[in-house]
Amino acid sequence: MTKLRRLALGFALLSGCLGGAAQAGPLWFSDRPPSADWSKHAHHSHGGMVERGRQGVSVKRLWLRDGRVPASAVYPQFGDDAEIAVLGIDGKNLAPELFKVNSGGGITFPMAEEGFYNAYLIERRVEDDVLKTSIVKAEVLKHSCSEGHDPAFTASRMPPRDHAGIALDIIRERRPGEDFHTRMRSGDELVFRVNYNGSPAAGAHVSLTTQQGWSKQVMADADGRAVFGMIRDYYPAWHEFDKRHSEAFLVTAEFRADEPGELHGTPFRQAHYTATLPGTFYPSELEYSSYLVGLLVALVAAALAAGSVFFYRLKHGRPARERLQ
Amino acid sequence: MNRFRAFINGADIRRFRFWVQLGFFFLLVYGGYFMINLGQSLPTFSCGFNQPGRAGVCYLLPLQHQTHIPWDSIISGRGLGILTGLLTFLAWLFVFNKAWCGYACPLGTIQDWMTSLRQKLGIRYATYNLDWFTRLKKIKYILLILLIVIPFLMANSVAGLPKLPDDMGTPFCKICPARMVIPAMTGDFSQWTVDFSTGTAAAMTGLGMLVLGIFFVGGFINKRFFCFFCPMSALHSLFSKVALLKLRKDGSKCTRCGDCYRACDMQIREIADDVESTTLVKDDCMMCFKCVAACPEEGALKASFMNIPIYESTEAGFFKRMTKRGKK
Ligand code: SF4
Ligand code: SF4
Ligand code: SF4
Repeated sequence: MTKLRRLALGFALLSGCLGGAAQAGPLWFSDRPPSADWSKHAHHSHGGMVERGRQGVSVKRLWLRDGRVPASAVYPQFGDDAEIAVLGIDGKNLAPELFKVNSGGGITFPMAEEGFYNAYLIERRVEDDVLKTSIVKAEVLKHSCSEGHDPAFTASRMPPRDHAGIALDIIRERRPGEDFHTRMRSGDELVFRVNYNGSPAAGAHVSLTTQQGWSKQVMADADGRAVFGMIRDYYPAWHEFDKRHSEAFLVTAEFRADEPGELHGTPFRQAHYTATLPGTFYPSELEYSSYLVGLLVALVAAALAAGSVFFYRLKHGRPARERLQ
Repeated sequence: MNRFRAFINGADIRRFRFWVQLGFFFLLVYGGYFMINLGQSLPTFSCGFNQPGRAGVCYLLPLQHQTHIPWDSIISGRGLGILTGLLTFLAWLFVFNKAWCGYACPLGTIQDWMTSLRQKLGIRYATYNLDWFTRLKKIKYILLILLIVIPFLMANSVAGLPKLPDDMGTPFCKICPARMVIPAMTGDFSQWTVDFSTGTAAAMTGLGMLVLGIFFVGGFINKRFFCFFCPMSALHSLFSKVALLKLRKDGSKCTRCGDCYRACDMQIREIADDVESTTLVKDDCMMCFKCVAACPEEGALKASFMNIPIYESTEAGFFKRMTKRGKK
C-alpha cells in the first residue's frame, strides 16, 4: 500500500476517474481507434498504430477500453481521479496528455526513442470494505527501420522492465530471439510474469482472452509466471485471408491480499487488484506458407536445369579444358 | 622494400582469397552473434534476412524499403533517408570498389566453394557464348531498375493505374537466392517456403524457390553463375569508376596471350583484348585479381589503391605460382 502511495505521488496526477456509464470491466488500453475517422490520423508501424507528432516524432494514442472481449469492448470516457503515468525508456515519467472526445478517451505521449514504453492508469475505490484497484497497463514499442538495427542496441532495449511501485504488474517475457520486428503469432507460447509489489504474485488468477472471446484462465506459479499457448482465432474465407491481419488479446490478472488500510479516510479490510495488459497477434506463418511446395519447386527447377545442361552437353562437344588459376 | 614487393607479387592469390573470403564469410554471416553491426548499407549480400547472424545489412534491402515512398514524401525526412543510405553505400564502395564481390560477398564465396567442389569432382564447367553473354548481362540492370521502380509503384499510382499490391514488397529479395541460402548457413530455413496468402505472394515466393533451384545447378556448373545477373553488381558498376581500388592495365606490355581471360571467372574478354584502357573494371568484374596472378608480363596488370600499386603481374611471380601448381 505504501508503495502504491509512493507511486501515486511520483506520477503526474492528471485529471480523470472513470465516470460515465456502468462498467462491465475490466479496463484496458488499446491503440485501435474507435472509428475510421480516427484511423486516418494514425498509420501502422512496428509496435502498432502511431501518429505523426511535432518534428516527425511518433506519438502513441492509447484509448481506454472497457470489457473483457476485445472485439466488443466499448470506448468509455474518463472521469476524475485516476493516476496516469507513462514510463519511458529510462523509467522516467513522460507526463502523457489526456484526451476526451465524443467517441472515447485516453492518453497520448511522444515516443522519441526506440524501445518499449510502459503506460499505466491506476484507479482505486473502496467498496464493501474492499479496496478495489484497477491497474491498466500497456507496453508499447517504438521502432522505425530508418533508425537502424544495431543488435547490441536492440538487445539493450529488449528486456521487459519491472516498475517498483506498481501494486500488481503484468510483465510480458520476451520470446527467444525476440527483436523489434518479432510478431506474436497463433501457435506461439506466451509467458507473462505477475508481480505483486515487486515480488512474484504466486496464485494470482491470470486469464487471456482473444479478440473473438476465447478465454483461458491459469494460476500464476511460484515465480508469478503464467503461460498461454496462442490459439488460432481467425477463420476467414480462403480468398479473404490476410496474413497481416492482427487481432488483439487481453491478459488480466487478479490478486487478493488481506491488507487492511484506508483510502481517503475510508477504511477497508482487504485489497483486490485487477491488472490488464493487451497485446496483438497474427496468423501463424504455417497457415499460409508451405515448405513442401517450396522444396518441390526448387527441386523441379534444379532437375530441369541439370537435365538441360546434361542434354546440351550430349549434343555439343566438350568445352575447353579448365585452367585452375 | 623490393623484396617485400616481390613477395607480395609472388603471392598465391587463390590461397589469399580463400582465407579472406572465409574471414568475411564468418564476419558477415555470424558476426551478429557477436554484436557486430556494420550498418544497413553494405555493398554486398550480407543478407538482411539472416537474423540474428548478419553483421550488417545488404543495401538492396533498405533501398527497396526506401523507394516505397509516395511522391509527396520525397522532399522530407524520408527522402533524406534515401540519400544518407546511398551515401553510406557509396562510401563503402569508394574504398573497396568491386572487391566487395571478389572478397567479401557471402553468396559469391558460396559460389566459389561450389566451383571448387565441382572441380574436385572433375565435372566440366560451362560458359556462355559471346552472343548470350552480351544478351544476358543486361538482366542485372533490368533487375536493378525493377527493384527501385516496383516499390515506387506500390506507393504511387502512375497514369491512373492502380498501385501494385503490397506483396510485391522488396521484390528482388523475393527472388534473391541469398534470402534462402544465407540464413540457412545459421540453420534458419524459414525462407524456404512458398507463401500462399495471396496470388502475388505465391507467385513471388514461388519464383524465389525456382531461382534457388536454378542457383544450385547454375552455380555448380557455371563459375559465379548468379553474379552475372546480380543487381548489386550493376549498382556497383554505376559508381565503380571513382573508387580508390582499381584494376589497371598497361597495354604496351600486354602480348594478348589470353591467360588473364582464361583465368577470369566472369569471362571478361576485355581484360585480354583491350590494350587501350588503363583502368579495366568492367561491370561484371569482381576484382578478384586472378587475372593479375595469371599474367606473365612484368607490370601489364596491377591492382592499385589510390594509385599505389598493391599487387602486380611479374614474370617471377607468374613462374613461382606455376611451379607451385605444377608440384601439386
Ligand atoms: S535477399 Fe538478397 S537482396 Fe535481399 S537483403 Fe538478402 S542478400 Fe540482399
Ligand atoms: S555480384 Fe556476386 S559477389 Fe557481388 S554482390 Fe552479387 S552475388 Fe555477391
Ligand atoms: S577481370 Fe580480373 S579481377 Fe575482374 S573478375 Fe576477371 S579475373 Fe577477376
